[in-house]
Amino acid sequence: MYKSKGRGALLSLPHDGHRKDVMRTKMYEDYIRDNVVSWFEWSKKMRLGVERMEDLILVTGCTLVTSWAAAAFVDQSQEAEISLAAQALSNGGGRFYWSRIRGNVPRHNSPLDPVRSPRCQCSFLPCTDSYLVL
Amino acid sequence: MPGDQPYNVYREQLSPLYHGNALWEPSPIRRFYDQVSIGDVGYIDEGFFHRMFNVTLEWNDDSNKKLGEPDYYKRLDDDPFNNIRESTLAKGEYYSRNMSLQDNTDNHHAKEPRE
Repeated sequence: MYKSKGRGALLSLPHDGHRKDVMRTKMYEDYIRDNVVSWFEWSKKMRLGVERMEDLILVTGCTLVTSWAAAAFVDQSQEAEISLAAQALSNGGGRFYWSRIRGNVPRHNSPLDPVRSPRCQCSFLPCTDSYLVL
Repeated sequence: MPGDQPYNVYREQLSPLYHGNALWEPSPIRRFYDQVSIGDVGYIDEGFFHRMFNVTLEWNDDSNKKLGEPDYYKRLDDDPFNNIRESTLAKGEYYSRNMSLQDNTDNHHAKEPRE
C-alpha cells in the first residue's frame, strides 16, 4: 500500500523498460540554438497552442515499455492511499489491481495486452529524457 | 487549478528520479506517430507528448507532415551507432519521495541528489 501526505506519484512497470540516450548532447544543444526560433514561429503559424519557446522539446532520450500503471496523489493537504498489485504477463503485457483507495488518487493503466510487441522493444514512453529549450 | 491536474502532479513528482519527463498519457496516437524517438521536436500538453516532426529526418519526409509541412530545416546529422547508449530501466515501482510504502518490493524512491 502506498500512502502520501500531500502530492505524490506512482509508476509501476511489470517489465523492464528499454532506454535510449544520446551520450554527447553538445551537437543537440547547438542545433536547438540554431533552430528553435523557426520551430516556435512554425508552431504559432500552425496554431498548435505552444505558448512559450521554452515549452518546445528536442528529445535526446526515451524509455519504452510494454505495460504500465500510473497514479497521482493530487491533494496537497490531505493524506491519501492506494494499493496496487501488478502481474507481469509472459507476452509483455500486465494485469493491474487497484484497491484500498482513500482520498483523491486519479489512476490508470495500460490494457491487458502489451502496448506493442515486446520483441520490437518499442511500445511507448512513460518518461522522456528531453532537452528543454531555454 | 492546472497545478492540481494529475498530469502536472505526476510529472512534477517523478522528475527527481531523473528519468526525464514522466508522461501521464504515454501512448502515442498511432495515426500521428508510432513511438517517441530521439530527434523528435514537440511539446507536452496535459501529459501527452505532441510530436511536430523529427529532425533526424529530412524536413519534407512524409512522417513530418502530420501536423502540417514544416518549414525547411537542415537535418540533424548524428550517427546513432556511435552516439546513442542503450540500457534497461528496471521493472518495479517508481514513486515520489514524500510517499511511504508498505508490503511492496522492487521499488525506486525519488530522492534529491544529495540524499
